[in-house]
Amino acid sequence: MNALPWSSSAALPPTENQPIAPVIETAGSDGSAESKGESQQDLLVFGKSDIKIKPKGVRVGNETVLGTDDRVRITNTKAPPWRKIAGLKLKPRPPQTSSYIGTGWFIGPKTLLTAGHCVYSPSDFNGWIGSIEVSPGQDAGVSPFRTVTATKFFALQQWINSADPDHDIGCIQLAEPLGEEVGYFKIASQTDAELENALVNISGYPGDLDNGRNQYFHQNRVLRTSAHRIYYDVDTYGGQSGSPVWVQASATSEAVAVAVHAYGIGGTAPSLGVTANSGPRLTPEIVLTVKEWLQAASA
Amino acid sequence: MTAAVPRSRCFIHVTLRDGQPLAGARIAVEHASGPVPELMYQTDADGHAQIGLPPGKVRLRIFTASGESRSADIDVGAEPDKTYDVTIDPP
Repeated sequence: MNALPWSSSAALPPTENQPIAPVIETAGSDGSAESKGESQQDLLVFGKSDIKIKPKGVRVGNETVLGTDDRVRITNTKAPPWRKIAGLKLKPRPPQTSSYIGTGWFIGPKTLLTAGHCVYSPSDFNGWIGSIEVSPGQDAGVSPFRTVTATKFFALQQWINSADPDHDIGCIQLAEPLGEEVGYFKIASQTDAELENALVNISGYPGDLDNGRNQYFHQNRVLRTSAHRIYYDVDTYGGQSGSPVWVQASATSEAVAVAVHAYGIGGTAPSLGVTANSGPRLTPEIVLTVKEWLQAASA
Repeated sequence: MTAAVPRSRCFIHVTLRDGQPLAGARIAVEHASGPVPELMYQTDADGHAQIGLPPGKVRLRIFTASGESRSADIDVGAEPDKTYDVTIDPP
């Protein structure tokens, strides 16, 4: 690997001078559940921008809300895409009795993606998590659909072997096809050119607001990409690990998830020269692995 | 890539000034010497939480059920499985 392997939002050749890989993707769905009320889709951002959406304010003191706190509460979590996103309560195996809050999102009828550290972490919960309560569209601490408990998980081998933040991606398998009701995101491996200056949307369950009981959304721009990570100035906080990072070409086009949010600014190397949160990128190789996870769920 | 800084298994014990354990508190890692996942950690009935932390100075932010928060600094050593007692003022 080169000493400075970062690509940036300025035009550069494909990441690390590798040839452009074919785009690998999965199918998405808005689900069969009825959707009523204001969809709040006017919050979403589409396409690209070479300027920030809002001027950066003064840091408000926590690690990962960048500048002023622009997060917006999602009040109609029964509507897509919000209902595809689930609050997670992570319960370690006994005798550990403390717990964790995270976020996951449906990519298939029985499958959610999340951060690898939400399912496997030797230092946080001594290896694999015991169980996860999955609450799609959780609002005021309750899912408008239902909460299901998952006990089957996968994670990228690089995450299991070396806790590499670039491969911090995990998977939750459900016993029932709740994703058929709430819908699921399409995922795709996008090229550096596609991600340059892309506007991204992130929604999840930050634990600093409303005790982690409500879904909050923010959006902004991709600041940098590397071979395995996307960096953005989107406000997040603890509890949003595992949130979807998605792009959308226009209001009428399909949402496409391109990364899994995992780290605040502490996860961004100073050499990048940006203050940004980040998540591992869905590379072609990773999407192929995710497809295997989807097949395992449908088997 | 950002180097994977090893995180040690740390036990955090949160109490109020009067010695009562703070059950159900939410803990975020605001600052550390290396990448720490954006999980929210929750204490059990005895005020205990387990967090993987890199060695060095760490700033935690602890949220009570009322939503108020306090910050607390700890100095994480290289030894694993150490308990760090954190005492905060009542909200």
